[in-house]
Order: sequence, then structure tokens, then C-alpha cells
Amino acid sequence: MQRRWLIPLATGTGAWTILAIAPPCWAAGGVKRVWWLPEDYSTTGYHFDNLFNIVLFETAVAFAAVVIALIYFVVRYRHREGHRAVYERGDRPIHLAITVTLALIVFIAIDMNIVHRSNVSLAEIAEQAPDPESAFVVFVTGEQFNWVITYPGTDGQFGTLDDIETRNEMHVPVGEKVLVRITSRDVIHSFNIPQLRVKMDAVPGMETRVWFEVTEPTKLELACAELCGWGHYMMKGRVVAESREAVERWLQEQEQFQEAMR
Amino acid sequence: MAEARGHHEPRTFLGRYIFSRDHKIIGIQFLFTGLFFLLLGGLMALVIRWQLAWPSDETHPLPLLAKWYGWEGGHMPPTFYLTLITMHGSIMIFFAITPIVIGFLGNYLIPLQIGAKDMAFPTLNMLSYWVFFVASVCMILALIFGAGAGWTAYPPLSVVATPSIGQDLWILALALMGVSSLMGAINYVTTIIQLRAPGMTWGRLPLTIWGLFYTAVLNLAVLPVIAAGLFLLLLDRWGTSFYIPEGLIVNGQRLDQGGGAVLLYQHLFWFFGHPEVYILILPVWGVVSELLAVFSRKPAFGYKATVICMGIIVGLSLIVWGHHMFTAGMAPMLSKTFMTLTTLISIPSAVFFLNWLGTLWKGDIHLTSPMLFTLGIVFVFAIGGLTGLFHAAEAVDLYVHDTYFVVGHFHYTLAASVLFGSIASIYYWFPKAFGRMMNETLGKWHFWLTFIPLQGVFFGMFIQGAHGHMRRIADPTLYDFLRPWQSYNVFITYCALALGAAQLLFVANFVYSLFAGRKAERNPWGATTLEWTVPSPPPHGNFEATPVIRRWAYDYSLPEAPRDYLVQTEDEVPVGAEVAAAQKR
Ligand SMILES: [Cu+2]
Ligand SMILES: [Cu+2]
Repeated sequence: MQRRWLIPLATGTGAWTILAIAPPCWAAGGVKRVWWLPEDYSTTGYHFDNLFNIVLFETAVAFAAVVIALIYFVVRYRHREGHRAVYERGDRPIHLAITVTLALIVFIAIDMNIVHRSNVSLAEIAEQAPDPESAFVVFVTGEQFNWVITYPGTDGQFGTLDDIETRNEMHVPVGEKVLVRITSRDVIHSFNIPQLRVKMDAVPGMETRVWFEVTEPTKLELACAELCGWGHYMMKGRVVAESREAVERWLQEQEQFQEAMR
Repeated sequence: MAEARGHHEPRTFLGRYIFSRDHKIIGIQFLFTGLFFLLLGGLMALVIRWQLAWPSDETHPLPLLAKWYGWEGGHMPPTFYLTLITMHGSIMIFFAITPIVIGFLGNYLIPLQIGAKDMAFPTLNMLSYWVFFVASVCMILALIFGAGAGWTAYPPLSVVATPSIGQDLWILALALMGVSSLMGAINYVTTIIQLRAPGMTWGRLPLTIWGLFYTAVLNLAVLPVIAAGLFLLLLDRWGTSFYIPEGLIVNGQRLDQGGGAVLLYQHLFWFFGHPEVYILILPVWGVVSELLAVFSRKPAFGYKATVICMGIIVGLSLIVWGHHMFTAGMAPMLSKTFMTLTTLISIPSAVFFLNWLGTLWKGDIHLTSPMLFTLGIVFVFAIGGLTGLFHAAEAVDLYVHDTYFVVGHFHYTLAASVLFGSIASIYYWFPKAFGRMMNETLGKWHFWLTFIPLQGVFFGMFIQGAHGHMRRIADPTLYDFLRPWQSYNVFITYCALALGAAQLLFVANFVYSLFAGRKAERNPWGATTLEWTVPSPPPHGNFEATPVIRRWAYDYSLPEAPRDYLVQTEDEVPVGAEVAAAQKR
């Protein structure tokens, strides 16, 4: 190997090694929120935010490398009178070595890094998922252009007479895991609460599930993320996270209201 | 190798310019139709942007449209918005970009660059254009009647919620478009395999041809699948239920269809839809590799690696479609596989960048307008490609899926990279196709006035998307969490208007040069490939005698050559000298 290649190769490999090590350290430091992501009120949202930031960092470095080289070459090797380009096909063993090195760096530092982190995060979230028997369960049904929210009522069973049904308003307890069972009665919708980092399609004919735990009392917006017709943009719901007692009280009110309507 | 089947030069106007079987005329027909739809789709984008910036602001009524339609308060109804986003997407992808990068580049360049008289099947070629023409008429009709299920047309929405004939026409238009592309693909593959001039080995083919070849192969693999998928969708609208599950209630009415699977369509659609992105960008990668070599006066760096990596991407693109369905309740086993395969695409892509930068390195760079747009592609495709990683990573995708982040990502790859590729190709091959040069000064202004606002438009979308801004919504101001970001929508709209205005320069340059541009010589750029050995524009049958190819496509700046390029037919330097020269250093 010629010596003039050694320095760029060494610095390149060094830079990428730092690149592979730095983001985990940064993530471990607990960067909770950066300005480009919305406020996070869930216990699991940091998984998404951390990986987002790691991917952002890696891609930013790669992008910077490309653009710096691009601008440097264009300026440095712009046309000058009487000057000729170097005849270089880029197919000698040294070029093969560089290509393979680059491929390995991309494979390990970016691809496997991202895949691994994503798998670990999602496995952790899946592991902590609440037990459907004992958790606070809500059944959400999408319809053009409403969210139908169903609570099991006192018997804890869905599909019975004491079910409590509301539209576009969902109250959930703070500090408790909430399991949401999702389906649709017409077209595909998507149950989407950005501030809880939750998004799951509501697919007719099948049931999907998602869970979250809200960390503090707050009011959030529930939006539809999948195009479902002309009213897609206004398929908006409200999520109220409050104490367990407040949720129970609200549910009772809904029940009385429902009785009165009958 | 076989000769192109000879057909006599037609004498009537109709035979020569309308129902022509000459690949050059057919290519130009695709180009003009594509440019027409590009302007139409671009205007739609501006209307969409206007709506997003001032959705309920009475002081900004939509110019012209609001008056024509008599809209209350000057703002469009949401149904119209739905038709617009559907049409903008499908028109831009299938009727603007596809005819330019595949229809025009493929038809125009394949015979000229491989040294053939015409395509292998000239009549099929003509048919391919006219089927495409019928498809585009259907598309315009769909626009008039209104179709509204997005360019992806997911059922049940595409089946139940849009009862107008517009949706039927839309599906028909896409199916016909598929048939046309299939005819083209058969022709491209056959021509490249069978009609290469003597000496034009696979290793000597220009990279543009390699890109077009892979595109055609990919088209052959995926178009039948989407055609079947669309056919079933059309049948579902007429009463069958391939995609409709039991017991749907639409508008308070129970459907009597049942027994189908909603997600089946998504699998069929994305089995085609993901490769479609590569179908469009492979020719552009070829063009980038080629134009960088021409204007750096240097061989295309790592030719073999580029060709192999294109092949790897073709293979990978067929097995990653599931990354579009992570939020549809996919089993972890499957989603992990799709995620891993998707991230692997970054490896061959990285090699492209290495080779493109390698071509520039120690070159003799001429910043002509086609070169500026080519360098622009390296920049915007870096952004477009790298942001793909956010969607590959399942945990991130679950959050950014169906937000403006995705919109920014695919606009950087399609609207920016492929569009720049189309523009660069037009600047570069215009003198060959029309015999006149385009204006260089206007071209350079066009580049900068396109490049800068374009970043404002599409980079802004990443920031909005990261904040959770949903795509395809007609009125973002309804959401409290988006309200602080509404000023971004206004900013993007201003940038989009500037971007749109800059294209007037291109239109003016194109039309002016067509009639009054400086006359072009045979080889105005000093390029090595075969199309530059024939007159501009080339006569019917292209070559006076079948050319004999003596060298590969990229002999720029050979040390012992008298000038800084050797055309593929030239034999001035003894064989083997170039190898010796390369080893001497
Ligand atoms: Cu919806
Ligand atoms: Cu894809």
C-alpha cells in the first residue's frame, strides 16, 4: 500500500470509530428533548427520541463528509488553462481496499448499530407491555371521521351492555400503563399521539395494539395519521391524562349521560 | 450481433412525427408529454402549498382558482385538496418523471449509445408511447372527475369512499401506464442484449445504459405484480372483495362485501412501490456517473464497482417493501428482517458517493449547466439517501411514519434528485436531440435559483415532520401542537413559489433555444460516447455505417492521446498503452 493513502485511511477510520462510540455516550447522558422533537409525556418515548438523535448524528457526519469533499474537489480541481486531469480508472487493488473498508464502516457503524438499537428498544417496550387482564384497557375504533373510544364498564368486559362509549375524548390515568386495542369500521386510520410517541394503524378486519404510560397530568391531541378521506385532517381527538379518581369520576358521568340518552 | 430491423424512412408528417417508429422521435414525444405533466404537477404543488400556508386566512384567497370555482372565503373545499394531493403524486411519479428519465432517456439514448440503428421492436416502441398517451388522457379525466385516495390508493378507501368514476379512471390510467412501461422494458432489455455494435462489450457500455438496463429489468420484475394488484382493486370497486373484510360500515351503511384482506393490497403495492423509486433513480445514477466523467475530463471512477452496486441495489430493492408497513401491526420477526435488509442499501449507495467523488478528484472540472445540476444531485441525493435511514430504523419510523419527514425524504430523492437528473440530461443532450445549444448563462441562473429555494422547501419539511406534522392534512392550524410551526408552512410556501418562478427561466431557455439557439456541432462537450459521432440531430437510422467500438466509454485525459478524450470508435493509441500508462504512475 502506498504511503500517501495511509494518513487519510487512518484519520477516516478514526473519525468513524469516534462516530460509532459517541452517540451511545450522548444518549446515555439522557438528552431528554431537543427542540426539533415535540414534548414527550410518555415513559417509553425516550427510546424513539434517542434513536432519532443517533441516526441524525450519524447521517449528519456522513453528509458533512460528502459535502466537504464535494466542495473541496470542485474548488481545488476546477478547470485551469493548460491543465489536464489525471487518468485514473479507480479499479486498482488499493481502490478495492478503500471500497471494502467503506462498506465495512457503513455496515458496522451505521447499519448494524441502528438495527441493534432499534431491536433492543422495541424488545424492551414489548417486554414491559401490560397484561390485558389487569391493565387499564381502552378500545379505539376509527370511523370517518371520528375516534370512537370504548371503556369496558364495571364488568371489565368489552361487548357487554355496560360498555361506555365516547367520541373523540379519551381519559386515561397518569402513571399507569394503558393498553389500547385498535380497529376500524370503515377505512384505514392511524391512531397517532405524537406527544406520547405512539402511532398504530387502525385496520378494518383486524385488531392492532399499542400501550403507553403518561408521566404527568396533561391534555394532548390525538390525530389520524393515515389518509382516510376528505375529512382526514379534522379527525381529531383529545387525550386527557389525569388521576385515577378523576378518570373514574369522568367515566361515571359518561355512564349517567349514556343512561339518560337511552 | 443482429441488426435493428430496418424500416424505411417515413415521408408523411403523420408518419414522421406522430405515429413514428423512430426511437428518437418517440423519445422526444415522451419528453414533451413529460414536461407538460411536470408543469401541471408543479402548479398543483403550488396550490397545495398555498392551502397549507393560509388554510383559513381570509386575507389570502387562492388566486384564480377561488374565483373560477366560486369558493366561499376563497378557500378550497377539503375534497378538492384530496384530489390535488392524489393527482400531484401520481402525475409527478408516473406521468412526469417516468416519461422523462425512462421514456426519453431510454428511447433516445439506448440505440445511439450502443451503436444500433433503432430499437429491437420499433412498432412495439410506438405502441408503448400511444398506450402511455391513452393513460395520460385517463389521468386528466380522473383529475376532472376527481379521485381521492392518495397516490398509494389503499383500499378500503380507494374502493368505498370515492364513488365517482374518477377513481376508476385513475386506476385504469395507472394500469395502462404499467402496460406501456412493460412494453418499453421488453424493448430496452432486448435492444441492449441483442443490438450492441461490434466491440461494444458489457464492460464498455456507458453507465447511463447500465442504469437504464437495470431499470428495465426491475420494471419487468415488478410491473406485473402491481398490474394484478390494480386489476383486483378495480374489480373490488365493481363488487368483488379481494381487499374488503366482513362487516364494514360506510356512511351508516353495511357493505355486503366480505372475506378479503386489507393488507394484501399494501404488500402488492409496495412490492412494486419500493422498487419504483429505484426504477426512477437508476438511470439518474447512470447519468450522474457519466456527466461527472465528461465534465471532470476523467474516467468514471470505479466503473466496475458502480455496475456491481447497481445490481446489488436492484436485488435488495425487491425484498425491502415491508418497511412501508411498520405501523400496520407487523410481526417483529418480519419487521426486523425488513429493517436489516433496508439498512443494507446504504452500503452500495455509499460506494456510489465514493466513486462520484473519486471521479471529481484530480479532475479538470468544467462547471457547465449540466455539470452544475449533476453536482446538485450529489448534494440532494446525499440528503435524500441518508434520511432514508430514519425510515429504515423501525423504532424511528414508527414515530416519523406518515409525517412531513417522509414527504421531505422522498422529495429529496424524487423531486430533487430525479428532477435534477432530468434537467441535467436535458441540458446535456439537448444539442444532440435538437441540433442547437441551450443558453449557458440562463442555465446557470436556473441552477442557482432552483437549488437554493429547493432546500428551503424540502429541508423545512424534515423539521416539521420531526415535530409530528402529519402529511396529507388540509388544515394544520386545527392542531394546537402544530400551531407554533405554522410559520414554517408559510416559509416553505414562499420558497416553493420562488422555486416555481425559477422554472420559467428553464421554459424560456428551452423554447428559445429550440428555435434560435446557437447551432450545435456533432460533439459540443468533447464526449466519448457514440451518440456524439453522428450529426446533431442524428438522421433516420443514426449511423451511416455500423460503428466498430475499440475502447470503453471513459477514455478521458489519456496521457498519450493528442486531446483530452478519445471517442469509443477511435483507435489512435495502440491497445495496451493505456494500461501501461496507468501502471507507470
Ligand atoms: Cu382517519
Ligand atoms: Cu421503500
